[in-house]
Amino acid sequence: MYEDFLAGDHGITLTETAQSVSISGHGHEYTLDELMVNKYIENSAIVTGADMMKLWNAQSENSAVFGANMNQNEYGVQQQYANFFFFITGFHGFHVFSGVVINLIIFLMVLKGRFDKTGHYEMVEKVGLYWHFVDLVWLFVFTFFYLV
Amino acid sequence: MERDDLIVNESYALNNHHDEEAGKAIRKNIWKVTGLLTVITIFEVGMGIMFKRSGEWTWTAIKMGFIILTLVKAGYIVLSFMHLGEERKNLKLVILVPYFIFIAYLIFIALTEGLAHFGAFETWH
Repeated sequence: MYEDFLAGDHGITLTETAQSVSISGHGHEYTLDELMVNKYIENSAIVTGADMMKLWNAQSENSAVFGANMNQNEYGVQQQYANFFFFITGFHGFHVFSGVVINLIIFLMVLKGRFDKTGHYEMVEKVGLYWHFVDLVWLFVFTFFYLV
Repeated sequence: MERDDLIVNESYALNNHHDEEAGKAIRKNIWKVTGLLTVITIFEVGMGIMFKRSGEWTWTAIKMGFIILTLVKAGYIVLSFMHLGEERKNLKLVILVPYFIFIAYLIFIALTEGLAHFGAFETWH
């Protein structure tokens, strides 16, 4: 099943038993993480995505993926999903945080009667626009990262 | 013809002072739109829970439905929360039409790039 997992002359051997699949060579055993992070292992061994997926399935058969992190997520070997997910949600979270702080400042200004004093409420509108712009971004983040 | 594009004090929106009656109507509309957005979101999440992710046409159709509903929600936010709905029809169209074309184009690009990446992973070497 895993014969074509490794291709080329690289001094690395794949050991397959009924319970596990492991890869070793050059004096140490390779972990799945190493294979996933370094697309190439020493001496240009070629690992293809579909076979990587097989190995992933074999090794994660009896384990559950909780949540998502940089090393492990529901998409298995597709690390770029995790990179993209945390990049987008992290930046969005920071925007939401700053929006909350600015809204709080506006709330305090309203309590102090600042806008009655100046006669217009332009700043409330500006902060409202910023907040709803961040809201608009969340709509698309929610659809494309959580729903689809 | 009388010019209507000059900002004079009475017509400047931010110098408007709504009476209690008008304020009530504005707040009521905000709650109405909030409720509608919540209902749409609950419907979307419900569909996501009920249907299993797959490569079959049902899930593809649901995903397309998610995208369309998202654009509807975006329209409601821009029109009511960001006050675009209070503008004239021409200004509304000038802002909405290019954005909807651009967003549709962006979604097309994202899906194409995503599929290309998926293909690249399938032949990873």
